[in-house]
Order: sequence, then C-alpha cells, then structure tokens
Amino acid sequence: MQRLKGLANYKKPIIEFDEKKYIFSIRSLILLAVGAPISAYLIYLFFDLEISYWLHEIVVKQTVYFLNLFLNMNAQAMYDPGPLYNWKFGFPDQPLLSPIYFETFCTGVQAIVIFIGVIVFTPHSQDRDTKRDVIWRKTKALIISSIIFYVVNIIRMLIQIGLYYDGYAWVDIHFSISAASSFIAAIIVLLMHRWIPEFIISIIYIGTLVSEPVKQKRKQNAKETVSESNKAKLKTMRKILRMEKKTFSQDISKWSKDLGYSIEGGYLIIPPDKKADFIEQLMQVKPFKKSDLEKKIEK
Amino acid sequence: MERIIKKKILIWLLLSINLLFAFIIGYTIPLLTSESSTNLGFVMIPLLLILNYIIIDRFHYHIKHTKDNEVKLDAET
Repeated sequence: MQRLKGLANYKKPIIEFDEKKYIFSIRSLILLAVGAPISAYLIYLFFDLEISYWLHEIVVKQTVYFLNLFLNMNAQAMYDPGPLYNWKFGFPDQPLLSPIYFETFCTGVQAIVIFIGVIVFTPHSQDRDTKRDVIWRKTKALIISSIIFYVVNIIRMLIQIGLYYDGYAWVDIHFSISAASSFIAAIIVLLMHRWIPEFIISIIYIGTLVSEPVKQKRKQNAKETVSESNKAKLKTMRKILRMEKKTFSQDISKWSKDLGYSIEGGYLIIPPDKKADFIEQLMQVKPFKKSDLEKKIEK
Repeated sequence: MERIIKKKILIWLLLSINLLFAFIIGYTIPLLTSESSTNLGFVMIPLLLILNYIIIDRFHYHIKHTKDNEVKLDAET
C-alpha cells in the first residue's frame, strides 16, 4: 500500500506521440487492467443468457440468407428451443447431413466484448488537448471494430458451412477456420491504435512507471558509491545508460579517456576533481547525454 | 465556411444513420420468432440514445472549435 502511495507521489512521465502528450493517472491504469476483463466477461455472460438469444436468431438468419444467396444450398434457420441451443442450421436438400447447432460463441460476441472492455476502459490522457475528442474516437473504434468482427464472423460461418455442405468433416473445419479467423483481432488492434493510441501508449506508460523507481534507485546507489569511493561499477553504468553489452564495451574506453576517467577491473574510476561533475551528469533525466558530453570534450 | 458546411453534412448524415438504425430495430423485432425478441429493443435503444448523445456532443465540439478559431483569427488581426 505504501509502495502504491509512493508511486502516486512520483513525478509522472510524459509520453509524446504524434505531437500529443500522454499522461495517465495511476487509477485509470488500474481501472484498465481490472475493469476491461471483468466488464468483458460480464457483458459476455449477459449475451449467454436465454434473454439474449435474439442475437442467435439474427446471426443464424443472416448467415442462412447469405448461404442461400451465394452458395444456393437451400439452408434453413430452424428454431428448436433446448437447454443449450435454440437455433440450428438445417439442410433439407441433404438429408444425410446432420444440422449444425448454434451457441453464443458462434455469434462472435466474445471477441466484440473483449474490445468493448478494452476501448471503454482505455485511460484518457490528462493533457487537455489530447483528451478533447477522446469520446468520439472511442465511439468510432467501438462501432467499427464491432462491425468488422460481426462481418468476419458471418464470413467465417459461410466458409465453414459451405465446406461442410461439400462433404468435409465438421471437426476438421470448425476449430481450424475459427482459429484462423481470429487474425482479425490483430488488424483491429492496429486500427484501434489509429483512433485511440491511448491503449498501446498506456501499456508503455505502465512499463515506464514500473521501471522508473528501479532506475532511480540504481542511480542513487551509483551516486553513493561514487561519493564514497570515487568509482562506479561498469555493469551498473551500462544499465543506467541503457546500452547493450557489445556497444558499451566498445564505447566505454574511448568515452572514459575523453572525459578523464579510467577503467580498473570492473570499475570506472573518477578523479576526485571530476566527482561533482560526474554526479551531476548521472542524476540528470537523461544521464550523460551525448550532446552534453561532446560540449564538455570540446571545452 | 466550406469546412463548416462539410461538418454540418457529416453530423446530419450521422443522425440520419442513427434514425435508420432505430427504424431497422423496430422493423426487425416483429420478424423475430425467439421468445426474447423484444429484448433486442431493450438492448439496442439505450445504445442508440448514447450514440445520439455522442453525435450531438460532436456537433457541439465542432461549433466550439470553430468559434475558438474565429476568436484566435480576430485576435491576430
């Protein structure tokens, strides 16, 4: 709890994307993580209740309409109320084919509700200009993603039932084509990023919030070590500078020579007269910025 | 001016589509055979109301934005 309080007091990072600033409150980020899955599940449960079986009927009848329009198979939407299924696809022209029963999962509503949960609970930026038209953008994302999922689901069923009618075993085509059609989720995420970049940016923001205290602690430890013993661990410096092992080992010797430091074993040795300057550079938001270092070397 | 007319047409179009949805919902319910057919209206009409509110809000946003721009231009001249 104290850790959370500390996080709330922490100076929030600002992410800039497309000339807009994104700052999120901790509460809104928690709400996204908790609210999105719970709301998605609850909406799905609602559509799984018998009072929502009108959706089954609409999807079955529309699929049958397109099956007969494109594949001319004389399929029928049959109402047969039972404990699990109320609707089924019948094929009177092929008496040997058993009917296909329809359940809530076949409506594709599970994919739609996941995106509804995510879109509704995506946090708004605290920057006034960025959040100005967020409701409109969210509405666009909601409507378009739901329509795309709905249409793709109908196309999926047309392909599956078409193949079933041609003699393919239902077990062979049902799960494979259903899984393949889920590629559309990736496209929706990309489209969503166009309208509400807040979603992906909020995930990056969470990463920044979590890693920032660790970075600060690392800097503080390095500062204390340098103040006490005039040396800093090379491994810690690499982590502070966020450099790859190979690049760091290539650059560190030249960089330290230019600035008047030396390397002994696994440590960077800082002369006492350069200690204050080193600590000042270390504690900056972007420590040892290349442009600042170049200026220093020129001097 | 041309931009404002475009925005007006867009809002008019959105409201018309919304009304068309309302018509389709009302037209569909009697055609359904499920026992729960009337629930389609109970679910969809509140969503339509929310959508209607959002479209009006968008209209308000455009007006405000245009006014703000006009004030800025006046201040500059």
